[in-house]
Amino acid sequence: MDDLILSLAASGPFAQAVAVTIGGMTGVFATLFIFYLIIKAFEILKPKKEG
Amino acid sequence: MEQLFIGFTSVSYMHFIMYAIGGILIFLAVKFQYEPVLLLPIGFGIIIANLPLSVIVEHDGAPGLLSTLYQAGIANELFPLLIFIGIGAMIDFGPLFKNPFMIFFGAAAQFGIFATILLAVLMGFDLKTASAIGIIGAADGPTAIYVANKFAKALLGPITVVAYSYMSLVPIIQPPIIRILTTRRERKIKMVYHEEKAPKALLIGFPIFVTMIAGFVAPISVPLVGTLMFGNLLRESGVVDRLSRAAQNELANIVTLFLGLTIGSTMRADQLLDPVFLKSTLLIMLLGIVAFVFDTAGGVLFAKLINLFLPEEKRLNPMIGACGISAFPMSARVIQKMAAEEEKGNIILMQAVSANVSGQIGSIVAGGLVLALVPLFVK
Repeated sequence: MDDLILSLAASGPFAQAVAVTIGGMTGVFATLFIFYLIIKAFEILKPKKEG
Repeated sequence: MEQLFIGFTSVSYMHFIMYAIGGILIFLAVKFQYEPVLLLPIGFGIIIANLPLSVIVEHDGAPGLLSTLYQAGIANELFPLLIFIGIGAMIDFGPLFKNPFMIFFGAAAQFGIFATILLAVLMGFDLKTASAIGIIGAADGPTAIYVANKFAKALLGPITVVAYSYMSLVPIIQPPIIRILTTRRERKIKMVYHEEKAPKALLIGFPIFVTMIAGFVAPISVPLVGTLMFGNLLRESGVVDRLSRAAQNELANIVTLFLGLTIGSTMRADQLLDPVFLKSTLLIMLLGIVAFVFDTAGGVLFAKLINLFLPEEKRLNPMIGACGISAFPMSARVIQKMAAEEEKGNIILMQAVSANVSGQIGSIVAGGLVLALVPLFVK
């Protein structure tokens, strides 16, 4: 991972911007997916109404 | 004698251009109510800071009111973070908890940020400046101010003004993009809404867990996420109503007032002499609108992609994808209006609000990730 970052840091700004784009979009989706799981977990753990 | 008329002799035509810019912002705020809470103080800040000798900024080497406020609240990012506490106290995550899947639109609609970063780099901006410009696509004023202050201090004024101006133009920017990307049949899709109360434990636990996860994923995002979620915890706990109301009203209002005035004061006549600054400002205006267009397109296209995997009766109205931006509740209102225009009685407001609330979370997460990723490549 460090090698990849170092090689990107040494490359041009466009390659860096592409890396920020891929990392950023993946990161946003991944983080919000965790938040989604939290909401779902609370839904599952919610006590069910009888009847 | 010369000293008596120093007010008249120390100004140039550029000062008058700045008065005109300040006047235009005040006009837009008063006449069209374009983000008046911010644009009015910014407009007045521009005028007052560009008056002869700029005494309110600095006098005889001593800091004036506006430079004191700048050091106290902008240079150290205090003001945007305090505003986040107020915004957090205003957000109701309830609609999102009823439609949790909508949270993904809050991610998809951040595409504008990253598309704009790519475009800005292609236009010759360095990665840090490009990122500060791209964050306009967060459609979230305090996040734009926070990131711009870290990555492109010199362009803080133009970035802030452009961000708030385009946020107020959401009703004009979004509809044509949505119409281009969707068919009339898609815009008529009805969605079922299930009314269900979110459990109290979720309302209280959500802001705490979100802050902790943000702290692990991108520690640098904690000031942004943490302040927003702290405000929300005040609201949802139900035991500190006084603090919640103070955050929503007194805190948010007072800080917004100082923030606008101070940001306005960063826009000075001498900058007009700098052709690089002028060119950058014009490009920021262009890239800002690009960011909003790509945000809208990202959300709508993501909804259309999801629809490919859903049965006919469960399809989403792709317009709600456009609500994944942070401009709340304006974007949700725009989409509901469009849905009702396409077919009378089609109500998708609650789904739109859910996506819109997700956009508020998505924008600060995206801001935090940009803050974490960019320094990996550029010191």
